Amino acid sequence: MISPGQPQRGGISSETGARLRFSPEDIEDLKENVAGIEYASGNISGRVQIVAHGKNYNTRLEGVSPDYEKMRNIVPIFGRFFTKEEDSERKRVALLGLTVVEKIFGSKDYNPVGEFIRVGWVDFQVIGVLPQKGYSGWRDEDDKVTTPLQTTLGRLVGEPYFNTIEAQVRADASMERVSELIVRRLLFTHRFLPTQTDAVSVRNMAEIQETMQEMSKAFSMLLGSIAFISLLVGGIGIMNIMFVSVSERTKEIGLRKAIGANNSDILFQFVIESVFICCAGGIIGILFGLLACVVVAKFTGWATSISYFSIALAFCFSVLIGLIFGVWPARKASLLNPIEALRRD
Amino acid sequence: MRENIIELKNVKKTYYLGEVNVSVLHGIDLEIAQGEFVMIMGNSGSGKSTLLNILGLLDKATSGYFKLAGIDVSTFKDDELSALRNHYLGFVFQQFHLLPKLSSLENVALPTIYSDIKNLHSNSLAKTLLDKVGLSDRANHKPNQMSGGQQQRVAIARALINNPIVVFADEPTGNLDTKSSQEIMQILKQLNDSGITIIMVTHEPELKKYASRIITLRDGLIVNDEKNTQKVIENSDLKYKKFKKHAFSLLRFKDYCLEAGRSLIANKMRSALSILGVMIGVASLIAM
Repeated sequence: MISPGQPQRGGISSETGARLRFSPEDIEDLKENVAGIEYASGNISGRVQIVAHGKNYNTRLEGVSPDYEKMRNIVPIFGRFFTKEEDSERKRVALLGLTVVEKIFGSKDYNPVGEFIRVGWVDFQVIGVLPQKGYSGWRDEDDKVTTPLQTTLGRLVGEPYFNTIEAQVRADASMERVSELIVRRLLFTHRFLPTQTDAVSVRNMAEIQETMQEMSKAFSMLLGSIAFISLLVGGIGIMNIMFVSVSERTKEIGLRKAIGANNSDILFQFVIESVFICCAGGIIGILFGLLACVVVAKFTGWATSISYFSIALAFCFSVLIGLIFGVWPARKASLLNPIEALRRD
Repeated sequence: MRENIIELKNVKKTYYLGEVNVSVLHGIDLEIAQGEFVMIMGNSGSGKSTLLNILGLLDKATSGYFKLAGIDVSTFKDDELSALRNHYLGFVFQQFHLLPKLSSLENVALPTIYSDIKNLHSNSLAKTLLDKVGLSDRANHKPNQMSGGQQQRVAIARALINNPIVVFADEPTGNLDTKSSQEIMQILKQLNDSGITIIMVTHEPELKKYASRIITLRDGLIVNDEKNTQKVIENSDLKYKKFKKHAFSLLRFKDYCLEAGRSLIANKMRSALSILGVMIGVASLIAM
């Protein structure tokens, strides 16, 4: 996931089951000692029960560092984001997502700043409303409450450890180099051996995205090549039929030549014939392809997209096939000797 | 003095069949004047068909000098010969060679597709010609709905559509009964009377009476050349017909499309299956 203006972001997490756990000091330590990190934020989340305004609502709570505001470009709809001081003093402040505002206060337009909500057994004051994010997959990104990381750890979780640090790398820094430094620094501060690099895993968003893209590219190339082959087979079929047509109409060609058709006249006539076939096939094929897309979308619920480019490509390609596979038989026809052609039975 | 429409000097034709060279014409000298009705006779293998093909520009002589309507055609290329045939010559074949899927009117109008001057009235001209050969009521009939004699008359009308100066007939009565033969010969005679030169190959001696000149060939040489009558038929229209060298033009594109469409419709099943093949390809390309 990439936010506007922030193309490079890495997530750092401890290995499952390892003793390495992050504490809030790690964040500051990394920011100070690893060159290239612009912002870093701890991240802990879980389900909580919110009571407010006489209503009871279950939502997701996310504890993050103050840097999170800049990393995600958060501009609250109402109120403000929490400050560094509020985080370090463990102030009980919270920002609500739009869905939460709607569920508790009845309307998305309601300004809840200043209201108190109870999260678990702790009262929090609402200081802002998070901007609308929409859905990511099936998850409603607006159905959440954001609180300062240290408040969350100290007042709700009860222990000062969390599992994920998100870091944003400076635009001019190498992401590979920074993730290497992060691992080295974390191993050092947590007194691990430098060889235990498995204890920390750094996931690079760009890498994941690249892999996904490559997979979908390979997939569409596979399907595309199947389609290409079927079109090629169709083209060979046309060539075959054109050859039959030429030998069947040898007499006609002979006659046309006798009454004054020259080689290019005959060539054009046969090439146009095969291009006609391909055009007709192309147009009907486009209609059927569109129909297939609609039917598939209806029955499987897949989102199918039809690009005008692929339609144009398919059509041009089929015409090209007609030209290429039509030329050979047509050339054979055009080079026939009129006398021999007329004599042939 | 009448103008010579055809002048042959020492024309030879040799076929190269692999290792063996078969010499068919051994040096023909021939002059044919405008308005003559020439009959070329001879046994099979005497080279009369070959001579007719060379005269009709369907075949090229191996060596020799050939002048048609004042044009030296010995050095012409295939495409130029095609244009000359279209412009100056008409052909009538023993097998008629009408296109089976076209009506007689369309068959008659066929040569206009390949002529330089786009005749906007080619259909009405074709009708007039069908009328001339006595088939105006058969304009929309297909060849297989007509008798041999009628088919040959359509073929004659087709030969006339571009207003030729010479009509070549290769055994035009070979596949016809006596009555039809006579009709055909009458029509050819009428054409000759209107000034068109007719060169005909036949081996039916009873047709000799129609000809003004009979050339007998044996083993690739002219052995006898007798002139029956000395008629002087001048037709100034034909004499001044000028030939313009053909240049390829896309003006014919419409006709090509028409012809292509015609033959696709004629073979519906085959076209439909070919279209199906392409359709599946395109549909899968889009659906993916």
